[in-house]
Amino acid sequence: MNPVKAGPLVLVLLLSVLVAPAYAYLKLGVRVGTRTVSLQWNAFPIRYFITNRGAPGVDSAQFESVITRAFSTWNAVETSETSSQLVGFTAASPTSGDGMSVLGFASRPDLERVLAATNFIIDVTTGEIVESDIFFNTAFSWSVSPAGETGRHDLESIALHEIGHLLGLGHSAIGETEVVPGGRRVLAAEAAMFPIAFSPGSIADRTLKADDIAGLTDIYPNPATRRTRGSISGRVTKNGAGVLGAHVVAFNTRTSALVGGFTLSDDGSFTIAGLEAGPHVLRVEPLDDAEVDSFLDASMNVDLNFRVRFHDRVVVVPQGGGTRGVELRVVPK
Amino acid sequence: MARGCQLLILTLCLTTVAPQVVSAQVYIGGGFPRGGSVELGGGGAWVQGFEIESPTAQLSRATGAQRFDLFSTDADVQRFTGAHLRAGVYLTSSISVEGGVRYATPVMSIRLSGDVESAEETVATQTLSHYVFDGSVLLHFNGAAFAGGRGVPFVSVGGGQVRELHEGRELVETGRAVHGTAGLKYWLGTGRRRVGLRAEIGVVSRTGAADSDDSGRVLPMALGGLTFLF
Ligand SMILES: [Zn+2]
Repeated sequence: MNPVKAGPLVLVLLLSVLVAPAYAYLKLGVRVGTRTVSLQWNAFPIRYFITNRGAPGVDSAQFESVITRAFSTWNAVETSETSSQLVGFTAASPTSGDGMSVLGFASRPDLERVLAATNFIIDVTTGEIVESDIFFNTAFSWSVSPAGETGRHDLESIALHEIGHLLGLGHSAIGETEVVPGGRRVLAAEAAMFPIAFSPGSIADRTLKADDIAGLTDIYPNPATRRTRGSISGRVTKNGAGVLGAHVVAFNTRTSALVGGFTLSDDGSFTIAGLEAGPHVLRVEPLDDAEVDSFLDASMNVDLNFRVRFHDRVVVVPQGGGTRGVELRVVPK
Repeated sequence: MARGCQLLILTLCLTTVAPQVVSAQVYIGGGFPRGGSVELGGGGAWVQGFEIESPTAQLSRATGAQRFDLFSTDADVQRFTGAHLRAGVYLTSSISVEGGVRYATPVMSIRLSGDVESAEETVATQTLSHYVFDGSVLLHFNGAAFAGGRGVPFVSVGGGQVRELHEGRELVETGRAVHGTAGLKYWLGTGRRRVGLRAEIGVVSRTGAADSDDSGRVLPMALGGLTFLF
């Protein structure tokens, strides 16, 4: 296991809850003094255990197979360097900070809208993830069928999402939903890290999308990637002032990749990294149909009062570099 | 062709036996350039614009079947004008080879429309820096010359490399260009050193560079300017 560093540790719980769409990937971060550092693993492979407790329709061997496959999907991203190792089965809980990273089922009927959740033990002086546990809520019906099963959530899809959190990714906002009684239904999404799952029976989220790959690549780039991938940074402004909490999505007109970012400070600045080189068009939108705290700190004074718009310049991402100083001017609704 | 060859032989003979009269004799029968003559030129260039493959920004649906359209794009490179320079040498009085460079700054436009959340339709643009470095072989039809040999039709074929720098000049993409043109040179003098007008029209077939369509495309092209013979 990763040794516990000298710095103070803190437990962070990240839930998959029902929120609304936007367009972005987001790295998880922790405040260290006056700066925010990204959460990330510093030592690989990530060693994890799985519980020996199954769930209706899923025995422990099937669970092991699905979790291994989901880890492999992330580890196979060519532009990044991550690896993982299954240590074995355990009877430990997937929800406790015990020095082991554990994935397993847990009965949480109280979390009636939470399919699964990831929690961390982190070193808050460095942002290093020391331990991470994932539980899948047995209050829901699960499926490991290759083709999916009507009325059951696909375990591999949800595991892929939660392991993305385990690796340090926050929620992406590349998706569209509609309001339905009791919450929201996903119409479409283009990120495994979108916070709302597709309806039961769907297996569409077993694959990573460009936004997921860009996010992972941003955190764990391999040496070649540093020379080939690039970034776009700039500001979103309204009447000359920065806009906080805006979503900026970059669309690569060559590859059709959609990758996004947020403005994360009062000056409206944003950076979208891990982008393939080439021409991009930019689209900015407010987070006006979302539970803002699903993406950003609830204390942030997110500006929702502006219209969706496109940038009127093609923004070119160079190989291994960045295009800076892009200013997206928005107008009030 | 036959006439050109005869003139070449004549010129060489005169050079051998009486070099001091070459300049006076070279334009007998039309004053065509001889083998070894050097031609330098430059001027303007015009190339037709073209549409670029324009993907729609799409999301995945739960079924994995039909995609969900977020917004549409419609991209093109507008027709552009630029400049060219070239240097050539005559191998015979009718055949020359040239190397040259063309430069232009075409505008790439991407129309963004059909947004699912009704974003206002917008045209996003960038200015490319477009270079073509190429070589050509020219065949001059001296037998079809007119105006006392001053006007000479020719055809040119060649190819080379396209280099296009996106705005910001940090991303360069390369491709290939092959051209075929037909044109006319009109010499304003008849001396061994002279200036002339040159115009040609034809097509350029380009593949790659800032164009995402790997199958290539054929575009009309026109060139015109001054040319100098030495
Ligand atoms: Zn989540």
